[in-house]
Amino acid sequence: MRDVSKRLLGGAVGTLRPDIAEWVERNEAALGEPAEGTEIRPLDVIAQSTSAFPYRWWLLRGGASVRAAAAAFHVLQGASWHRHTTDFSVQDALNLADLGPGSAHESVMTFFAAALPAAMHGLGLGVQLQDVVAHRLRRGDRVGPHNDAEQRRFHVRAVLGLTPGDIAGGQLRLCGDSSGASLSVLPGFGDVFVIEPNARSYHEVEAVRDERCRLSAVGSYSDLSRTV
Amino acid sequence: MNFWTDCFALDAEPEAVLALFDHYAGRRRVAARKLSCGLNGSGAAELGGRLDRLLDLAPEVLEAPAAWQWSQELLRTARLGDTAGFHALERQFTRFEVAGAVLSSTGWDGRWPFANEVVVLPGTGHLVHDEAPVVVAGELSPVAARLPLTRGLTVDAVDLCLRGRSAPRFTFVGSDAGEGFAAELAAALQLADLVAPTLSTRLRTTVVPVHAPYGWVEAATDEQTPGVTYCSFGRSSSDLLAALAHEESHAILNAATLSIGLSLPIGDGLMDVPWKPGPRPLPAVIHGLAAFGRASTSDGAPSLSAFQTKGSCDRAISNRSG
Repeated sequence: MRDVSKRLLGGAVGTLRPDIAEWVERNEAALGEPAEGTEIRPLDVIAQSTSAFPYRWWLLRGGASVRAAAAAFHVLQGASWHRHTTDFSVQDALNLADLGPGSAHESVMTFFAAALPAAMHGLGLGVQLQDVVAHRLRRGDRVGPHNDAEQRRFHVRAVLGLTPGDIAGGQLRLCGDSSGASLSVLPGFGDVFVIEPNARSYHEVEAVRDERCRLSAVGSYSDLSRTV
Repeated sequence: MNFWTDCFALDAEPEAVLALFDHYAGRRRVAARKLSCGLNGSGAAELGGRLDRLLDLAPEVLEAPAAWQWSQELLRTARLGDTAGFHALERQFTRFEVAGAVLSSTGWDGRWPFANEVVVLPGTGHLVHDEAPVVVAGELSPVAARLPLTRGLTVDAVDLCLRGRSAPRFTFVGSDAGEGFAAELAAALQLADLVAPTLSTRLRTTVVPVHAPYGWVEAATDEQTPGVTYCSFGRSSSDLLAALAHEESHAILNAATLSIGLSLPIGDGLMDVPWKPGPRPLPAVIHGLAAFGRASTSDGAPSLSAFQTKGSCDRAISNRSG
């Protein structure tokens, strides 16, 4: 609200008529001062692994990721999903490259291909996007423990949360090994969970226990330092 | 009246907002009068005469959302030269005449052209099932079922014309599910009584229930279906109330632009907003600021601020107007 108001008043779409400018100013003033730490920036690190954890991960959030999530949710409405069943997972999936074109689709792909790699660069990760796959877990669907390390075509994965509000189940559990959970997160709408897989990077998604589905978009990246 | 300051705050006084909606309804009634003139001056004088009689008897029927949809569709068929469509709408007009008899406490005993259909009598809340109705001194027989009504909110999952141009975009809820939705609305209004009492007084719309994809939420307002709010159910009272508050602001802007001549400037170019994908023109940005700004103008209603912030995410991705 504040950002849009400021851009409007700054002439982003031309000079505002006085009555509308006055209303926008009053509206913005009524927002009050944001509580410390609540300002949404382009993409911030909300949490990250410590050196004690067996692999590196980051939780990011910002205006760019929320906008990308809104665009992705828009794109996914009405999309055709493929049921994807393996030994350890049951979920719906689709490749975002198969959707589009359109401005919303372009926004999502631009986020995964440019904005997110730029943020990851700040974390010391030089990456290049390989693909973006959306996942939908319905009631009872789950993804068992896996480490992503067997798939050598990518080195970093980024999960963009597309689930508005809270649902029962669907937590992403980060495990130090294949035997048990040590940390649980549910990437909220617009949260980005970045993981750097290795042989010990076991993680799983617990079964969804809600009529509402768990939605996410997962970008897979190659590490430029390892592929060049 | 200063439209911008008097109508947009969450705690706006009901008088200003309801006066605006009344003005808009009056414009639609006048439009119906013009339509009858047009019909009388063309080859449809019989329908024009029936419309005249209804305007004399119970003009408020022509303010009902269904009446506006009917008249717009009639004009469309006339423009296209769609004779069959025109006659189908002519047949539909009977239900407005019966509604007029009910509201004016007069009588009706004509030929009922609907067989095996559940038919809404616009503006009355009555439903007519299989048997042809008779009206004597405003009393409808057989005694009709009613659409679920909760204070100023009617739930109408029956009347297909209210789906308007939104029909392809939504999956609509079946006609037998309205009562549960009315209970949800009642709970949301009870919450409004506590956190935003003027809002609960102001709300006056026909809610058309829709399914939401993946079990999420949907809510939308369409300027071409005045008096109608599309909304999914199965959600918390706070979330439903936030949706109603959000959609009301779209309805206020639509009524102002289409009724009292408020103009939203086109602006110079487009701009990105966080609540919708893709760049938006200035009128859409203003719609979004008005709807989401409700949280910012809720001094004295912190709990509503809080839940609207929570709910705004859902509406950012589902609302069709902002």
